[in-house]
Amino acid sequence: MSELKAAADIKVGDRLLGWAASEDMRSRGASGGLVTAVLAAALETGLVDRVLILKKVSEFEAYPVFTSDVQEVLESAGSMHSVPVNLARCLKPETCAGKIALPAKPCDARAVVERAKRNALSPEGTYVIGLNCGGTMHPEKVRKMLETVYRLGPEEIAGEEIVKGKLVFFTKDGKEHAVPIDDLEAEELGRRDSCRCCQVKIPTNADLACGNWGVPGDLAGRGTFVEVMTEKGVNLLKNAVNSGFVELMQADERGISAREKVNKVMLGMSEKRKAEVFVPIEDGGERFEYFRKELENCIHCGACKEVCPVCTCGEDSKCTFYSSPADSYKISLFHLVRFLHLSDSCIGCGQCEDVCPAEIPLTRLYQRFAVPVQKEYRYLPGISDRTPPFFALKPEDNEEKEGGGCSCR
Amino acid sequence: MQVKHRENVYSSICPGCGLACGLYIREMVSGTGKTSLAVDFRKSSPVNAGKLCRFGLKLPLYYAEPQVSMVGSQESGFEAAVSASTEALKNVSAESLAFFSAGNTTNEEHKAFSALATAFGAGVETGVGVYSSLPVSTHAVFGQSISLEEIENVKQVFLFVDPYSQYPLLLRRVLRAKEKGAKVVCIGPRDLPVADEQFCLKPEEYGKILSPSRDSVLIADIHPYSGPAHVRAVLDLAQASGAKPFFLRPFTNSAGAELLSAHTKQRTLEKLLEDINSRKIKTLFCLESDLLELAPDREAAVKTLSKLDTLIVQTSRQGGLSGLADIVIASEPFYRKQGTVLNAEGRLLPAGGNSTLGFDSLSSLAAAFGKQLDLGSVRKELFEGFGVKKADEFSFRTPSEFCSGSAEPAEVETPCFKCGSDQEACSESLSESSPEEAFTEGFSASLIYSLSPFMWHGLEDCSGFVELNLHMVRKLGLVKGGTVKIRAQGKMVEVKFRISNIEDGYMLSSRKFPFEVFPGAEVKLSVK
Repeated sequence: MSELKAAADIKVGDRLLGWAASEDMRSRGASGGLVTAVLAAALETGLVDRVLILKKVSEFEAYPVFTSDVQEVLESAGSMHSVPVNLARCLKPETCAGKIALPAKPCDARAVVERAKRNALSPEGTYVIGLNCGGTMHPEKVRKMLETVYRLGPEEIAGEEIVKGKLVFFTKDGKEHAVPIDDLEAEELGRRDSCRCCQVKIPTNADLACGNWGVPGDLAGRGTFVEVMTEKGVNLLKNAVNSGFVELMQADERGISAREKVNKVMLGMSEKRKAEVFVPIEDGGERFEYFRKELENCIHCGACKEVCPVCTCGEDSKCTFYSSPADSYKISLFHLVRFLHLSDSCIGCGQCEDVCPAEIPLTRLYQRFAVPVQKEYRYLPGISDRTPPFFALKPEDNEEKEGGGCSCR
Repeated sequence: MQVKHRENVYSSICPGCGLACGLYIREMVSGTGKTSLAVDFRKSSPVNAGKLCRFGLKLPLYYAEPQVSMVGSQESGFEAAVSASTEALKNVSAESLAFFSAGNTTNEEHKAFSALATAFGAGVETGVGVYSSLPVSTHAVFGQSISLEEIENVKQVFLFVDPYSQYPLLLRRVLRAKEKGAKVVCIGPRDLPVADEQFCLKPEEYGKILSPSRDSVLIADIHPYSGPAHVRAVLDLAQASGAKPFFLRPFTNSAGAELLSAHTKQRTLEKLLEDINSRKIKTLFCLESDLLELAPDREAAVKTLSKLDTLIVQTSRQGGLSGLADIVIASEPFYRKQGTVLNAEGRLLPAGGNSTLGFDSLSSLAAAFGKQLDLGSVRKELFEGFGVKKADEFSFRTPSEFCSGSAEPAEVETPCFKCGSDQEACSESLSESSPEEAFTEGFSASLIYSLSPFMWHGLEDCSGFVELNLHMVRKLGLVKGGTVKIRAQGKMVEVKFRISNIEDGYMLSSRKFPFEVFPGAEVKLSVK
């Protein structure tokens, strides 16, 4: 085992292995409790004023809260694959006073970036601790899986984890129950559809990118692989080490390539799924009919707009200004305006679909509009602070710029 | 660092309709003490999986104007309002006193309210007068529910409600059933996208045209405007076919309130207002229910209610009714209440809060009239009655004697609907006339209210239009962007219109008009 990393030596680009120094935090948090310890240290030392966390109600239920209480941060520790919330939506000018830290899945981190571009938050005052993510699950489906596949009652569950392509439930009697995610997804169970198509698994757009991919066998379950992405990430780690919350060491090449390999496999699965789902509809009439049919059950509740983490319009929004329930159009103007408006910012997080009372596959519809536009402009939203293409003067201006991250053209 | 506000998060349910969808209410209290609310999605809720309709998302507006206690027209303390109510009730004759609660509060409060009513030899009326016009033997059917999940697995769904506007969180269950191969048959004037077959039928035609099987579900609703012919016809169809009836309700605890008031003779809303008008009722006590929001014609209801000697209102929300009241007891908002509601499926759900203010007021009033009760024993009695061990989103009520045939027979009373037709009924009211005639004379249409949660709760929605079909629009010579004149009872309103796929002879509206008519009544249409 290599030596512990000194705080002073931490720099952008480092790839490290780490864990919480305290046994309590290691046992509470997943993969050695590094993320919990970094958040707790940031609060304890005043590096940040508040932390945005998911307050746990049960294994299947949690809600976002801002807290300055370290104990609340500790209680929020652990995997929550069954709570598919995008935390970025909570970051608003009226809630973002002072410095804030949050744990962020890739889609949360992408939404933070997009919100920052729209002045909904201060990027300097927001510390984003990215978490690798292979996908999340809707609690309604999880309950169904438990009942029909695992033959377990929700009350028996003590925790869950995704390990080597399997969804593992830990029951209160100390047993583990594992089923391959592929098998679950063959039954339309398992991960949310948006997660199955997700293009970012390691949040390299965050200040730190943390996860268990690349953790060597002897540290499995007890350590976190962390990549330092920004100076803010350096500060977070230095602060955590200096205050005695975290221990770090250099990751070895084997771990680094193992992490890359997992990422590649996951992205490959997403590409495959996308090819299945986004079959082009070449004929204009058919395409219109597809969208009309999918949207015909819309009840105009507005939940998709309300929950969207990249929409910062509030009440002053084009989608509601230029549509009315009194319209008799064949297709919803509300959605058409939103399709256009989000075509350069939709990150495909699936929140809209999660909350749609008419179960319209909204993420697919929005992505069908957004992906061609994003390809055209070589722009993947939420990855860098690059100006969204619709704000640029000419399409060719975008051609020259770096940071789009999209290699699909 | 100055934290701008503090937050309290309540794991609550939506008061919008009898489905009782799960949600979070986020209460944000600023440094100055000002409270604002936000709604968040509770995806683990088994009723709605976190999904909400437009009403659910607009709950901050529903909760926007909290009530303060009043005695006379003066603001008072809570205790003073309770004492004033006690004094007022001491001086009234039991025969001229009525208690009204539509089901918009917890079972615990309804039970305490019932105890108070019992002290005067009365019961709590819910406004669903149709119960009293149906044989007692049929009442048990209303207490038999099925879960929303079960709907997904039936072979045929017969929809006597419009899930798109009335009960939006029902829609996903019907869509899932359809995805699994179920046939969806819709009965009503509007063509619904989910329908495989669509009929506009009179109640007497249900049995002739519709042929459900044993593995079908008949989804209808029962509410203060329900007509007996329609409800009876649905029950008959269920009995003849063996299909399961599933009755939805407009208020979050309508099902609980109906069970708890099962022994009470129920008047229709119209009869209740008529009895106030004729001074048969001189004192009225309303619990968390605004009669002005429920009445078909608000203006007429204001006149009628002003004839009362005493109007006592216990409510958490400001509304027209509290403005008319002699005494207002201000209670806590629904999401802060400690207590339970029984949803349309028969789930006994916690309201989400920990305050007992509303219950305390009612229990102290009941105690003043010799009926002692405490929250613990009320809950115990409720749980036993409902056949559940605790309030839990995943357990269902066991139908038992609460509303069984052993209940004392309710007195049968024929509701006196002025229009004489059911809301869901189809009438032949469209008179054939040329466009020229339409300009000068107009023609008649049946006015159907969509009876959405917005309408039941008197909340503004973006619904300043009526719906007509293209044929009617052409017949009336209406032009895009124009308005249609609607006349009834010597009054006239002019509104915008939209073209929808609805039956000829019908006009649908999501907002009430100032006509003293119940839904289904004929109105005259013409163009400006």
